[in-house]
Amino acid sequence: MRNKKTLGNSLRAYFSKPANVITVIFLIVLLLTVVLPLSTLLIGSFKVNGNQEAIWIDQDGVEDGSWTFHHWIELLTSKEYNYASTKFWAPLGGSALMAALACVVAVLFGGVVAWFITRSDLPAKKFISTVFVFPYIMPSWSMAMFWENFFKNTEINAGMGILQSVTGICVPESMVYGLVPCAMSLGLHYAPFAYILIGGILRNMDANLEEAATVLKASRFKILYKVTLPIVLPALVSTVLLVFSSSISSFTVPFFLNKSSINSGNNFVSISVQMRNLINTGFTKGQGYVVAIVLMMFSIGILTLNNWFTGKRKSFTTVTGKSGQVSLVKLGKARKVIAVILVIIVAFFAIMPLASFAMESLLEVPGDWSSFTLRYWLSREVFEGSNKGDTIGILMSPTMWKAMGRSLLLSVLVSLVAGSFGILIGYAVARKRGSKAATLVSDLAFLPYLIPSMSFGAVYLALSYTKGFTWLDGSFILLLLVGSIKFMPFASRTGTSAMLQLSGEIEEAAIVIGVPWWKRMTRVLFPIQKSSFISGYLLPFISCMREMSLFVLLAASYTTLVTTVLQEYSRTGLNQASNAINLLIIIFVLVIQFAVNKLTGASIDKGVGG
Amino acid sequence: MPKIILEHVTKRFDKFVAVDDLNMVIEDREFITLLGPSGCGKTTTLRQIAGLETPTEGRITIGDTVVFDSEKNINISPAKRDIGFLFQNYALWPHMTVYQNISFGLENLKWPKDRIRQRVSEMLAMLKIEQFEKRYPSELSGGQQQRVAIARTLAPEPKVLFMDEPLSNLDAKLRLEMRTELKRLHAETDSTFVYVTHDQLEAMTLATRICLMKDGVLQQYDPPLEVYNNPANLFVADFVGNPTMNFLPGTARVLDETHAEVTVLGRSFLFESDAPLGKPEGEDVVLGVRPEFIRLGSGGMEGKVYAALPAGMETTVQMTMGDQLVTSVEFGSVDYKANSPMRFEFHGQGLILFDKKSGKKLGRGSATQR
Amino acid sequence: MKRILSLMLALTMVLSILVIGTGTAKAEGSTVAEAIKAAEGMTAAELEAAAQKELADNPTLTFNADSLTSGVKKALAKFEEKYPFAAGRVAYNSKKGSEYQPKLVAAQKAGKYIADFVMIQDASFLKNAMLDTGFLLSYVPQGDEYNIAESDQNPLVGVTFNKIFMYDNTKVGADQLKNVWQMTGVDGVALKGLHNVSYQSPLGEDINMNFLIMLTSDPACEKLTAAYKSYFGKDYNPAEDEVSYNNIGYKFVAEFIKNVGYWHSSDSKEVKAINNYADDGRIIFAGLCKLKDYEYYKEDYKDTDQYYKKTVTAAGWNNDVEGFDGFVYNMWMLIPETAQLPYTSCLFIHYLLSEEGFNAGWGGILGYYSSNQNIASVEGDPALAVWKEQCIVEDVDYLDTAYRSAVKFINMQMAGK
Repeated sequence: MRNKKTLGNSLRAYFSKPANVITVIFLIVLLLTVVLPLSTLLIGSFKVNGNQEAIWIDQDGVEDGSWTFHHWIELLTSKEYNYASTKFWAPLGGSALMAALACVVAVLFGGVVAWFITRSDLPAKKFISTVFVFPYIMPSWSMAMFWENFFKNTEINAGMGILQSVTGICVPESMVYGLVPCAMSLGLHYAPFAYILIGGILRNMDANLEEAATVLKASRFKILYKVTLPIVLPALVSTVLLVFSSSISSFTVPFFLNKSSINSGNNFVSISVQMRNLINTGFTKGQGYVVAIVLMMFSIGILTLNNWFTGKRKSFTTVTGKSGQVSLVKLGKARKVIAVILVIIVAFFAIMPLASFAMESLLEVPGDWSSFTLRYWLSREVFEGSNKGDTIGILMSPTMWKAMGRSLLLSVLVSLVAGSFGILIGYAVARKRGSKAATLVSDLAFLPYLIPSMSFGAVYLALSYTKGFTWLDGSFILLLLVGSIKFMPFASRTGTSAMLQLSGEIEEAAIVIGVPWWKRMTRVLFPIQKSSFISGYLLPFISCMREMSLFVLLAASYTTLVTTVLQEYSRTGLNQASNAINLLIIIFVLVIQFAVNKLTGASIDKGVGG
Repeated sequence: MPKIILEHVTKRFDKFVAVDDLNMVIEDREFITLLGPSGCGKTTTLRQIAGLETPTEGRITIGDTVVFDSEKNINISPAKRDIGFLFQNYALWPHMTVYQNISFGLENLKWPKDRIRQRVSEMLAMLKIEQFEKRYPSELSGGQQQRVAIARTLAPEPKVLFMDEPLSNLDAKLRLEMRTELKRLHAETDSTFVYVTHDQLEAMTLATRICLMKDGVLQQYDPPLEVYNNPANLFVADFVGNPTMNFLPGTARVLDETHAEVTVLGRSFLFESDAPLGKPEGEDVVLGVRPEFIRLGSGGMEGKVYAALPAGMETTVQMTMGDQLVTSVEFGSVDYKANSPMRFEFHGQGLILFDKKSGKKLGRGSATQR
Repeated sequence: MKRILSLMLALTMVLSILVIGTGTAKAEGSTVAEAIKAAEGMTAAELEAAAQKELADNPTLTFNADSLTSGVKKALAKFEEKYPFAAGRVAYNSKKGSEYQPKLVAAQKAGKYIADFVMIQDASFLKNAMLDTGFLLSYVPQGDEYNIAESDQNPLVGVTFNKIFMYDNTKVGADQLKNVWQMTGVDGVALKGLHNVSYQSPLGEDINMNFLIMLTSDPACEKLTAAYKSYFGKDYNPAEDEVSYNNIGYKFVAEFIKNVGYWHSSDSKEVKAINNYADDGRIIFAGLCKLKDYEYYKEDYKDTDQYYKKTVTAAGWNNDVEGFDGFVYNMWMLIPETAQLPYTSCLFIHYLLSEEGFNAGWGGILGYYSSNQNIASVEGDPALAVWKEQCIVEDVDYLDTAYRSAVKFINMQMAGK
């Protein structure tokens, strides 16, 4: 009796704290929305998924739906035609190398730019930081496409690229196709991410920490690797985690840049291409799930490392006091030179791909300026005998506009839901720092990032066909749900780091004078870190706008998204039109980002971590 | 050895002038405090000497070396200025243990390992933080972090030590304790200390000389007691001393080189300066009387007790006379009833006559009622 | 400034909400199999009346046609014109095969509505996942107008496609592709250009994988053996091979993969660029129908009937390659057992397989062949029967049995080991 009462009381005490309530709610929500899909994937890797798989396995008693270890055993160990090695181990190794290289590129490029922007008196900062994030806004394959268009040459029999036509230089094939170019394109695509994460920490880092080392006669290099780097290490690890997991599971880039002959040695089949092949072929779905799980374990490994690095002992001490006197490093004479070089590099990788999209949308025959045309923008010509008034000129097509409107609405809603979830999770994690439940919530919220989009979509598709959930099928709400969960990781990262920067006292001051929790969030905490939080809304928005594979299974004809329309144009061979739509999406995102930035001061370059 | 000379040092942030044409000489082994209200340019001055901030104009010399000269384009990095710097927020490296924090500077000096070990132990012992050696900063209290920061700064035995409000984050008791220790440190280490604070008591008790600044301009640069007893202007007089000086507005008529007739509180006094009087810019003056120069119980003036604040060792008595509030301090514990009448008079040689318009000191001496 | 921007943002939101239509409601239908059976016994006019009644009875339903070929979309538009009662009641959904399969499987497992008409490829998937489970049903249009081979009736083949080897023969000159063994690199550098085979990776494109697998089948081996003899002037002798292959097909696949000089990522893009490779043209393996995207000659021959002839010449397509010209595979037109408007589905298939319907979707273009043998292929394009003769033909049963070892073998070749 007494025990019961105490339990009741302690429960009541536990739930009187909003942070606990949030933790519990999100624990449940995430278990349902994240762990469930994950376990379906896991179960799928131990089950026969369909008749075709039963034919593949070809064993007595094995039929659709029965349990089996075959997927794991065969993919990981089969020596028949070197199967395990060619299908799994070699691609895995190559992809890990590619992802690691991409991390190096992203961290070096993004980190260096972040350092210049936050820590030096570099001119043209505004331009660089604005333009630098462009490649992230573009779909990742656009960088690969640009890479090929730029470097391909007749020497390797791939047609004349921009570099060759301008300078006559022919780069070797290994610079155009294969592992290195894949890593470069991915690295460049994710460099803004590194910039955002590292820049955030650098911006918030107390400059005194570096000054203290200067005074103690540490050389500039030593300060960098003994003080600055260890302190930005959590951000570095986060970057590596995000870039590594995105790169290793990126399908489009390695698929696109794998064109050279097998004998050349530049032929590189990535694990993601193999995974896609396995999953898309009815015979080997289960093996595809095995790959997905292995890839996830890679990322979880890094995540664990991340948690270990950002462990409590070495964490930031939030000291109140003045530390605003950031003295920028004087670059001296190099100032202008570095600025010019950076501006050129940044503009090259940010603006050139855009320009090439624009160009390709305007030329009837690629590369031939005499075939200039506005047809794919403005023509009212009917496109492939469409039934809903589609036109070849994308701006004239009502379907395109409808889909664009729907994509916008979806992205805005997704960003609102994901962003708010992110803030709430951030709040719970910050207030209950070190508690097991809070850490679990924070880790779970990150997992959707690691689940391949297609599999994630497939699980929700199955859900929408389950009794009691059929109303979800093809509905906008389903897209919203899936998008919100899938893009929550960005928001929860941003939310957490923003919340961690707020000392608990700020909230306690409001508690003392009896401000209710809701008001504390909206009137005290949110306004203080407004720009960080809003940045947390922007990332899901952008990702959602350009997402395709996640929604492709779930969207119905009445929930067509703009990326589907893009795909449709491209499938019909109207590459000009699909380039035009791509450009249009990027412009939309940029305009909205600009508007939000002007209104609130938030921008994605201030995003995660700052 | 290291003598620090600042010549015409000016720092501008855009249009805002943080430090304006500052000239000062800090002698070897001095303990200088840069004192002033927030935003007066004291921290900027300190950071400029340390090399963390670049002056817009001027020249700074430490010892025999010109470390900064805007004309000759000299700007030696802080690492080469042979200094120590203690930050207000300590700036301990969160990823290093206490030991690593302290030994870091010594490693940079390429000291042998055993000597580093020995020196760090010495510092840990001196600051009584031996038991925290293996902890990370986030696991220490504010006072402990403070000590680690001091140990880290002192370990390489810098010849010049800069401190930026190092005690402002501590509680009162700890602050007092650390103050004593800092003074002992100064005595023990043979170093020159430059110390920024906005607390006049801290400045008074610690410094060998106080540099008082306001709006980027040097107000007075003298030993503490000189600043206290002989303030250069109204601002200095007001900023230093607790309870603050009584400022009695009135008029003055200069009689001769050292004498003037001063009218304050509706009464006429003969002011006798111990040095030739300065030239007032008009008739209006302010007579500055430290509370200890007001004697209660007798004399030609009568006020009403406003409040008596006995503190044990002394009692602060506030009186009104007309609409003027007059503060006096009496030794010992006495209690007066509010609103009771009280006679008082000025005594001593420490009364200061200021020009009201410029705020400048005209003279120091005694005032006798006529 | 701020106010204007916030207004704009708000406006964008409102507009995007307005722009979006509302969803469609769904209702229960009668047994689809019965309806199909009934429809097969009806005359064209009866079927039309049944479909009209069905649409009128279910005013909230939309007829959904899922397909990965936009021909369906074109035909659907004409279908609406022809049958005004269906106007505004139909929707076309573009579905990529690999992305659509999970959706079909999920619908089958849940017994749920997915569409009223489905047009898909991939024989093995169709047979094992859709036909064996009884989820997709065939309706065979009746009447004199239709001449559908028995073998194409169940499941009902809608359109047959071919992927063949093409190149710009105006650039290659004398070194024409005459024998498939040329593409294995056996000739060293003698046949300049023909070494430049461009093939879409079988790891990304199922049809290309299936083609390679089918090359190891008996009919393909026969063709390969004959071509081998003709090309090398001697019989194929496995003992002479350094590596031992299961059969000549495996040998060909291995050597072919090694000889592929370029793995393109999109057939249509590659076909468009067919004449861009100035000196050493590529042999591109792509759908013959992709020639419609071959813009190079379109301008010149826009107003004449010479366009395809010229294009075909320019694209180096010739159908007397010893061995085989390429690959023939089907796309099936089927009705899910959960369809809600089965009579309309039947009417639509009835229409698609008629000359009028086929022309509405795929008419006048090379490389599309109706299973209705009364519909001739486009001028200059041989009949489907000829293609089947000269190409490797997709075979479900062989794919199922050979898939495992062939795929493993192909993967090994792709890895260069």
